[in-house]
Amino acid sequence: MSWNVDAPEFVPGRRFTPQTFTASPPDTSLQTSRSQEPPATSSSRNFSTDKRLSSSSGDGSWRYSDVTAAHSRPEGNAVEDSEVAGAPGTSGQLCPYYLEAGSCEDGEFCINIHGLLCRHCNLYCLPPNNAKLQKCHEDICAELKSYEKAAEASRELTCAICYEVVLEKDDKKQRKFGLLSECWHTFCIECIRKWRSSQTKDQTKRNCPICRKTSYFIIPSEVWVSDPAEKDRLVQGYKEHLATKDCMHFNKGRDHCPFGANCFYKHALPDGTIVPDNVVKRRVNSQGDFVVGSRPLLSDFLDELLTYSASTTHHTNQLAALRALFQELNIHPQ
Amino acid sequence: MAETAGVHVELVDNSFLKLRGEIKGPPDTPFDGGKYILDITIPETYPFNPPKVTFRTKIWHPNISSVTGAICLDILKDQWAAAMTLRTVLLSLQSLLSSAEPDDPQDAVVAKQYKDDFTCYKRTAKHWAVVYAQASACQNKEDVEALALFDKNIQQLMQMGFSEQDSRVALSSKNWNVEAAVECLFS
Repeated sequence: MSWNVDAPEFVPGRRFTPQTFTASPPDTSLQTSRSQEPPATSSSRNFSTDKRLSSSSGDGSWRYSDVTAAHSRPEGNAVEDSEVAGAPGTSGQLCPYYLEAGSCEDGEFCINIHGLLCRHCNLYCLPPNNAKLQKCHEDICAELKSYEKAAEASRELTCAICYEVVLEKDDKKQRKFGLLSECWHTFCIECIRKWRSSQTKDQTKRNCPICRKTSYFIIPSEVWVSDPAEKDRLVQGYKEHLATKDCMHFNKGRDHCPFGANCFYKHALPDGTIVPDNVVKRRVNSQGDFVVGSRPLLSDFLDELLTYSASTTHHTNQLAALRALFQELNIHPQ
Repeated sequence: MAETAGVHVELVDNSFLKLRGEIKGPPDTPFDGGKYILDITIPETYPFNPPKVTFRTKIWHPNISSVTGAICLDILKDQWAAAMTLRTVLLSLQSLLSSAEPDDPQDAVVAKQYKDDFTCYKRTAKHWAVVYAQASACQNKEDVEALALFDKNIQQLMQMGFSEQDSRVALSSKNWNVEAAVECLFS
């Protein structure tokens, strides 16, 4: 008997919850609490509520897959169970009973894998013989936990400018914190951005409205972070995110960015070359057009001139000779 | 607002853009016990720009114009910060009353007197506080005598036909020298 359902990807740290096939979509049912569906009750024996974890996919990712008959129990459909039952631990799937309770009636004879306890999500979900997967799960799980903790802590924080609870603002888009790089005062992203753009004096607007400490940038965040390491990570992520976006001032080399090498945005030429120091090699070619590009040779200039004016000027020969000379000397114009 | 701190704000009309503040003169200053009324105008851009605050009650203080009531205080200008509130502004004004800054004056005449003749400044400030802000009277005998003389001087100029206000301003500016004040009033 097999059940073909959309199996949601298993995200480490999320509660494993047996779900019905026909009910709500997978994502929402994943968020339901485990208490709604205790695995040890007889109702969980119902085939329609039973889903298991498996690591059967080749890429090592963990997926929920429907399990209709993977677990044998003393009572119930013993005949059906016995048909699929094999040697202990051979099903390649995590035992859903052991996963939550840490115990299983079949004990060592269970055909499913009895995982090790993850201290972050309190589930016996770590594959016993795969250290790489264990670490992977624990890392993501730890991150998720700290995020949840931060989200809980930031729920009631108010912005020091508008005095509104940041995460309860009317406009959902504005339910974000603007963290200052140098201090720990709480503002919503809208207010702190407004403050930094409303002041005419550079020095004042970069200062924290509370402690006046100068911060050169703000980091938007959906949660308030109170841990310096966490904040560093956030800053890093923010910078990396911005580095993928083209700088508005730099304008692909056509304009100049006032922030220069300190700019967080991408300074790339139209051809994709990254300009790390904001100094764009621009020159006027022989036709008076601006050309953005690498360092030119004087001979290139003459070369262009020759191409365009070959038929019209009588200096062609001299130019050609000059070009040859420059090519030999490899001179850069200053 | 906190009554204990001696600052208070109320609506003038039903608009929140015009408010009336009140601060009590801080102890150990000539303004002790005085009641100072402030006109507060909240800009549309508040709190990103500071409220406009002026003294409605006349006051003799180096950082407050004795003529217009305009205030010279950094936080009401370029040092304003969005996290400040009317409460912090009024408390700052109260602390400005206890610690004047004569080197950054709003009223140059007062500032000069403050630096040149501090006793005269204190008595003049006390006189203004008693007259305009119902401040408590002096305890010190010498000060009481000096203030009585001030009143006499004003009476003297008023008998010459000057208004009480003009006489007070002229005398205060001229360190209560009647001749200098008269000269000032006639010029």
